Amino acid sequence: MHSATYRLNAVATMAFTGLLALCLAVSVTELAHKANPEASLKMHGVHHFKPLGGNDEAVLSFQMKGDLSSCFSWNTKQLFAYIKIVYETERHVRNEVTVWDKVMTSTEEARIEEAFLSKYALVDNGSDLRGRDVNLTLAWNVMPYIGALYFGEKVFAAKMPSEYMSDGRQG
Amino acid sequence: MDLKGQQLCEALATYLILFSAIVAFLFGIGTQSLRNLFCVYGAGVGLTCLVIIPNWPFYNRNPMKWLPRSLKKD
Repeated sequence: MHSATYRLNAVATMAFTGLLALCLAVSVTELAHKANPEASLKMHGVHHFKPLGGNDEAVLSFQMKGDLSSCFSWNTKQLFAYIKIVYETERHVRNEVTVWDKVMTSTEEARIEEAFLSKYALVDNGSDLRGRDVNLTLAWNVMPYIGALYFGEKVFAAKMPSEYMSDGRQG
Repeated sequence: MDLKGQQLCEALATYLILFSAIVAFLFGIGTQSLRNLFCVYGAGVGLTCLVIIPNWPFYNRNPMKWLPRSLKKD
């Protein structure tokens, strides 16, 4: 502490240590945050379901009524919500296909009550989707400003049509 | 800055930063805003710099007493 530059150095070091401690403390508050996300999701329709080059391809739409706004805490930057179709076939034990996603940056955006078309096609690795029981999984990542990202999900059952079809609106 | 002043300076720096961090955290939680938290902490650090870095008169209240210079040459 004998010179101004030494004191500047000391204050800077202490300030950064304090900053680190603050960041740690902020990320720990996330543990106390109780979220109560609600959602119901069902398959609204299948608009296109055809094999393409040996792989089944489907365009789906969903009916969703959900409120993920309680996932937001003071340390939440945004939610990344997505719908994945999870199923099992004889050839492949574990299949997960993401067909829709959304970045939610506010609590208003985290409330959804609408029917919408999938953003990405459901493409099977093979042609085993006809009549298949699938899980519609609504999953979300809670992305904080500081600290660890974490996941949540809700699973809903659905069934693919037993025959190939197209309603003429897609593909 | 004398030796007592340096001791005081170091203690002041530590407690001011600690105090700023605690106040900033509580204010941030209270207003549910990370922006407020870091603004308050930044202000606290700025204030600490003002108190610590210049050689204020109150750091020089205990000047060192040096031994008288020996006149004898060896």
